[in-house]
Amino acid sequence: MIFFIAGQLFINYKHGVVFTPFFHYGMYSEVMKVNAEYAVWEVEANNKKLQAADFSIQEWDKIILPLQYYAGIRKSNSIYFADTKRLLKNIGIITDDKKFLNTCNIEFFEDWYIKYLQEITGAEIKNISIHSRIYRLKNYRLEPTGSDTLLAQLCN
Amino acid sequence: MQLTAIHRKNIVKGYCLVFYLLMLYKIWNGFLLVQLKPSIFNTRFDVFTWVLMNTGIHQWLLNNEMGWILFDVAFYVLPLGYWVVHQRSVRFASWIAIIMLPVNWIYISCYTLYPANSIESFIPWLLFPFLLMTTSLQSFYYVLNGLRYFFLFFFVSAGIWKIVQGAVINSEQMTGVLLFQHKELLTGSVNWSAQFIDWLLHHPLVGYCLYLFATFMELIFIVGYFTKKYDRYLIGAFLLFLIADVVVMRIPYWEVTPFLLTLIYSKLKLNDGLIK
Repeated sequence: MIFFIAGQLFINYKHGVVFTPFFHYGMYSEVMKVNAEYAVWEVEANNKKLQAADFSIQEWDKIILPLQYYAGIRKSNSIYFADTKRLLKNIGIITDDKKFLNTCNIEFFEDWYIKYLQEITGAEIKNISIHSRIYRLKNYRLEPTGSDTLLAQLCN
Repeated sequence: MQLTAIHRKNIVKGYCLVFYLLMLYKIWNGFLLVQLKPSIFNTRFDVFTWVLMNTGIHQWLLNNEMGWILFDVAFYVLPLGYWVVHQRSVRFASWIAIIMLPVNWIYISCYTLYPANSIESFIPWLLFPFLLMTTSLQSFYYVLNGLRYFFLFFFVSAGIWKIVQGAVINSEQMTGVLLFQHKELLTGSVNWSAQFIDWLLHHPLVGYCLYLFATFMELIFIVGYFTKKYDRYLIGAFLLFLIADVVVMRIPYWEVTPFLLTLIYSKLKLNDGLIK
C-alpha cells in the first residue's frame, strides 16, 4: 500500500511520463483556450460526408480514432526517438527500433479503413475521401474554410 | 456489520456481474479486439508500456485474427473461472487471480495502444486482481479499502489538477473543452446532442459554471478520506459523473464502474478477532 501511494505521488510530482498503473487523472485539467481555428476530420464515403449526428458515440469514436492514430504516427515515432529509447537505456533495456515504429502506408490503411467503415455503416463503400479541414470560429459557430489536408499528407 | 465470507462472495459476484455487463456493452458496440481489428498503434508516455512494447507483442497482434481471439478469450474467460472456483475454494481461486493479473495488464496495455480507448479508464481491471488474489478476509478487507482510497484519489486528483493548472480560473475553459471535444459534431447535421452543445457554447457562463460544478463534485470525494458516512452520496455523485460524461462530453466512462463496489461495501468492518 505504501509502495502504491509513493508511486502515485511520485508520478504526480513528475507530471510527465507515467508508469502503469500510476497515471495522471486530469480530466481536462489543462488550460484550454478558445482557438480561432480548428482542424476537423471530414470523411466522405460514396461522395457523401459522414455526420457525427447519424452515429452513436461509440460508432463515431470508432470512425475518428483510427484517423487520429494514423495522422499521429509521426508524433508516436518521435516519442520513441526523443524519450523511449533514452529512458529505457537508462534502466538497462536495449530497445529494438522496429518494435516501436509505425510506417505511413496510406494504401494499406485506406483499404483497412474502408472494410472497417463498411462494418460500422453496414453499407458497401466504393470510394472514400478523408481530410482534415480548417474551420474558423465565428460567434461560437465553426465555419468551413477552403484549407484542407488529405490524410495521406498528414503522414508521409 | 462485520465483513464475512458471504460479503466476499457478493463482492466477487458484483465484480463479475459488472465485468460481463461491460463485455456485452463492448460486444454490442464492437469494441472487442476481434471487432476492432487493430492495424495501427500509437505510443504513449508510459514506461511500463514501453517495456511491454519492446517484446513486440503489440505488433504481433496487428492484423492477427487468431491473436485477437486468443487475447479476448483469455481476458474474458478468467473472471468466470475465478467466480466458479471461488464458490468452492478461495485458495484455488486466488491462483486464477494470479494468472488474471498479467493477462489483464498485457491485454489492456495492448488494447489501449490501438484506436479504442484511453488506458486510464481501465484502471479497475488492472487493480482488482490484487483484491481477488487475497485468501484471508483480513487481507481482502485491507485491499478493498485500499481500492476505495484509490478511487477517491481518482476524483480528488482530477479536481486538484484543475486548480493547480489554473483551469478553474479560466473563464473560457468549458468553451475551449467543448469546441475541442465536439468539433466534428458541431460541423455536421444537427441532433439533440449537437443542439445542446451549441446552446452551451452560446451561454459560456453556464458552461463555465458547469465546469466549476464538475470540479467541486470531484473535490467532494475528499470527504471519503475522513469518513465513510457519506459514501452513499459519493455513489450518487459518481453516477452523476458517468451520466454527465456521456451527455455533455460524449465520453463513455463505464469501465470505472467496478470501483462502485468499494463504496457500496465500505462500511463493513473487520472482525476484531482477525486483526493481528
